[in-house]
Amino acid sequence: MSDSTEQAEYRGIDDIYRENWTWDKVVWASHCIDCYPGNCPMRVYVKDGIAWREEPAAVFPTIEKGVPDLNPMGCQKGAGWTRTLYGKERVMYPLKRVGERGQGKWQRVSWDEAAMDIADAILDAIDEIGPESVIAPSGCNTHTWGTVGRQMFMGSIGGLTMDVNAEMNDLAPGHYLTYGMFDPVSSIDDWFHAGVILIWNGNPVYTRIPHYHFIAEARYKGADIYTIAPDASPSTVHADYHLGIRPGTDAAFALAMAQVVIEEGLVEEQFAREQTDLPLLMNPLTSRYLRESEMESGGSDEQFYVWDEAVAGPAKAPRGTLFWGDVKPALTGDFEVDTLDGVVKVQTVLSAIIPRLEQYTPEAAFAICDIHPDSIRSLARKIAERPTKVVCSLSNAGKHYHGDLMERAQLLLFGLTGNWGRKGTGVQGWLTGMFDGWFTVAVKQKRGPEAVAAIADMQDAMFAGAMEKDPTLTRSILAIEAAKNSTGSGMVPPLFFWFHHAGYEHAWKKREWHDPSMKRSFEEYFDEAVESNWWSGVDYPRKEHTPRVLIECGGNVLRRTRGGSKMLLEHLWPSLNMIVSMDIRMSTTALFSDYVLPIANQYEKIGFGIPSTHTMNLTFCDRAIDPPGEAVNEWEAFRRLSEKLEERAKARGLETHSDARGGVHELQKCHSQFTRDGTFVDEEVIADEMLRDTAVFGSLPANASLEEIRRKGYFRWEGLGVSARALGQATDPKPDETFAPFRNRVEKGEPWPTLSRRAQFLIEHPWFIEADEHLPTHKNPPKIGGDHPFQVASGHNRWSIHSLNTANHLMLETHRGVPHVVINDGDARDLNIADNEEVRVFNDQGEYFVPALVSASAQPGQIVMYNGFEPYQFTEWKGPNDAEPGMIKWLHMAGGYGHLRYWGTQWQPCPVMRNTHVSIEKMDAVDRANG
Amino acid sequence: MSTNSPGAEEGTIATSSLDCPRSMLYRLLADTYCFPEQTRTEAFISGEFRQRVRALEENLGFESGYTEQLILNTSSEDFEVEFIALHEVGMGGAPCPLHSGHYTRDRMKTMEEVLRFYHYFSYTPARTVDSYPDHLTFELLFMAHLADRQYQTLADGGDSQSYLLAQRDFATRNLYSWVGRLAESIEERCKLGFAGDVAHLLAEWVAFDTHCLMRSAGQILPADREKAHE
Repeated sequence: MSDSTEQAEYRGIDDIYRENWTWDKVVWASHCIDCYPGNCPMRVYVKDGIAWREEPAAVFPTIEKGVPDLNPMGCQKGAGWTRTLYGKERVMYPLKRVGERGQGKWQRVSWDEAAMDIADAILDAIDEIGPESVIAPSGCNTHTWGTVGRQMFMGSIGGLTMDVNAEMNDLAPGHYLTYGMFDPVSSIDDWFHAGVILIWNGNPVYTRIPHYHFIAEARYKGADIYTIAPDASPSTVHADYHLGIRPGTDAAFALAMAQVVIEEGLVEEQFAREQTDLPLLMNPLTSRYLRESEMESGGSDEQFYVWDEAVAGPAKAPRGTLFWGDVKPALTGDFEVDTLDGVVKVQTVLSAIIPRLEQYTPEAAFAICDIHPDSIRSLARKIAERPTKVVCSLSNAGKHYHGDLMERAQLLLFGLTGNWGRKGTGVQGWLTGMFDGWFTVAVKQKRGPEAVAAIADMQDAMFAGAMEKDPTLTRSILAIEAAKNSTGSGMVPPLFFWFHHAGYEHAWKKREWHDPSMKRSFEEYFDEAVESNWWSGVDYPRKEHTPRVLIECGGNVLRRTRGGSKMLLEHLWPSLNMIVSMDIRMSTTALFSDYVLPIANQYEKIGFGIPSTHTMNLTFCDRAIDPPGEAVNEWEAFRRLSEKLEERAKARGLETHSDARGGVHELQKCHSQFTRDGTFVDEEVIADEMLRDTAVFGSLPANASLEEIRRKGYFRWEGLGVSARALGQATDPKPDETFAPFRNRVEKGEPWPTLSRRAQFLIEHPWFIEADEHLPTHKNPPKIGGDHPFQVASGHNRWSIHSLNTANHLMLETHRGVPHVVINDGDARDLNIADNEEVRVFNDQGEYFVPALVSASAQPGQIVMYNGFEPYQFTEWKGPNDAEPGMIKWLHMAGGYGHLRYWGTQWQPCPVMRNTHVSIEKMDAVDRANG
Repeated sequence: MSTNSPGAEEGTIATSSLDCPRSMLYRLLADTYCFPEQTRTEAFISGEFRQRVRALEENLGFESGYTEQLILNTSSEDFEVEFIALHEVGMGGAPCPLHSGHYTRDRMKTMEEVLRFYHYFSYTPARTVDSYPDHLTFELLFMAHLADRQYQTLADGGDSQSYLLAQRDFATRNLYSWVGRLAESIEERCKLGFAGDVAHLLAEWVAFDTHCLMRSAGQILPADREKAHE
């Protein structure tokens, strides 16, 4: 207390408001969480250590003449972030559980005590079972510090980090099967170039608030906007057309449009010849490409052929370029070729596809997908004529059991019509890349650009050597191959963790919940995948690696995991001796943890936006204020654990240990390795190094530094850098153009990272052939969850970022404020359910209770349960995930074939939830006591 | 009481140089809502806390129906667990948070107003106690701060109206508007009678003192106005 004796007279409340506040500082900020693509630049106003408000900073320049700029980027969630900062759910001190898990009894402890206990539990787990018993799910709200800190910590002990893309189920498997990568990402301003915008498996009015204006602006320019969704989703309101597709039939719809394009001669033939495998020759009897090994003794298994119309004979398809030179490949046709085994009848891949498309004439497809043939024909013609783009951050088709088929059908349509690698075209995934310094700080031993230049030189030399041996290779393909080979990182697909230890096994083995074309039992496929070593090096934890320690950082596994808290609490939790949540708040997972470690929120630590070509900018979030209580950033949290682990390893005399994958770990040095002997401790130093290192790789300006970004607030990406995912975009960023991926493939003939080196529609893997999915097709969704009349749709809501903001009063006041399920008004009438009345949603997997939002927007037989709500917000703490078995498609365990191989965030099975079958009943008809 | 009481530099009950009983009770209550360190809890268990309250009540002419029950019948450890479950964490937030802003529609506005009061009267909350200015402890200490100033000014023969009005406004606009709900909320959720009893004591004292302040300032609370009309 100041002892000032000069006190102004106080006469009434007006007096205290007379002073016009001046800010102690105004700093740059963004929300560096998984609000993909995020990167909204904001200004935060600070006084007396409080961040009072934030506002969007419309600072992005116009990039391309005639194209609107990105400004202003922001939404109500970002502009109300201070409400989360100062929300009731913050955790500010390390907490130790003193009651039963989930009981809510906690004791404050020091960081030192918490770290000691956790370190000992980790050492016990290593001693008892091995480091594979230490598991880190990949929470996605870990930018900037969690990702690197967690990876370094888990790497130092040999623990396992679960692949984030499987955890959040944002893989687009059909993209991967076709492109060898799932994640093409155009800049948002590139939407403006589209002549047809397809809002397909997305809802940008909810999820892309800052970017929706590009759709409206494209529309004013003449683009047609289509919403293709079973429900009249909120995005329908602003679309020109709503095609109310029957749930799960999107592949049939896309194939019907492909059929129209071919039937009406609208194929862009040169594009299809160059970009796709459609002209490659295949044997219709084996459903396999014609190979050099069949044509020449000692020939390659990866050299394929086309029919060269110029010479009326087979010609080798070049692997180092998509361009054909003098070869004139036939797109269609049946031919005979002389092979080592005699004459064989072959045909082009497109010729094999065409008869299959006859099942999907617009009239036939109408019966499947409920979209009128006229609408199918009309849209198909437009797509053939105009640049067409599927907007949103990613195609949520991947959340369907047969999402891969939906995506492959979409891409077939796009491949036939020239709709990728050009402005205003293509499909979308999600991307992190370019920010190479994010990872170099985890490996370089000292500060300064020299250390990272050495890494770059080493990679250059390695790539040069490989390209000298095989000139068909590209830097992008080599980077992807390197990523596929780096199995020692400890990041693994969660498939094995879930199957052996999390209870999924029971659901996955239910054959009736799979597609009928799964010929054998799920276990047979699983065993074959393992025994064939398709997942070699990443098939951990194995059955014997009982999980003992779980460290959740920036995620909420009990909310997010398909199958829900019920399954994990029943199957996984009992085996765990230590559960740690690093979080800004008391999430459902934190509630069931043994320790909760307080993490600094946005504005309380330095951070960077998700590095992505979506926004083409790296935005900066400064440490505007100090974290409350004893919260620290994730890096520091892991550093403290590392420090204690080193101390305890020394005390317990643990020298070295090996993991099951051959890695050797020296825990007595883990902290010195973590900090590189104290070099990397301070967040200012590390952030500065991240920026400077990235500049070395050319993706940020040469003058990039913490000081410079603090001045400017953001940097525009200038290059792709060296990461596999970024290089896969195959477009050189330009300062005055929107970013459209794959331009180098179209304009320069850069090959694809697939077996055929082209966008690949024939997948020859025996499982795919067995399932008749070696070529694009449609299959109806299986009855996941049992024989129940309603199908579930979902999506991100408008009011939260996953479960962040679900307790934010400002956001809650913008909707009903509680979880709710949208149900068709006719269905509600039939079931005698009134609006806002609580209903029981159930199937053979589980149940939850939720108020109904009765609306004609839902299709009859459909319910929409937006995600994000915490299980604890529901009656009996049962969330929607409790009724989601989290089925995976057995074909996604396939490997050992061309590009079907795991690398981080890419090819792997992901649990799906769309079209889960459920029943609904009115609550007063339910006897809860009897379940 | 604990020597780690809220920011000794702000003049806690332990360090107050003035003999202002109102201030002392506010400080004692402020101390009560700091995180329960062992020495503080021991005072609850031993009866020392109740004794201090009684003494101050006699001095103030204020009598709470809860004072006699102010003995904590549990261990320090259990009290800490209960304190955290009530005031610090829970599903969607602690059920009985100690920040006044959580009892209003807009916490930012609440924080701004309390901070403006603090600025105006040169009062600086200690971040070692809590990170946010609307914590109950700070608000009680601010009342103590104003009470001390008023007391000192009167003793010096000066015009204390400014402090009286400020206490009236701060109490009516802030403290009085939420501590009653806090007490009800604690009583509803807490198994420990002590926590509910202290909260009720707090609510009664704040109500009593606010009424006194209103009367001194020549105004009455809206609730009293309604009663008068009846």
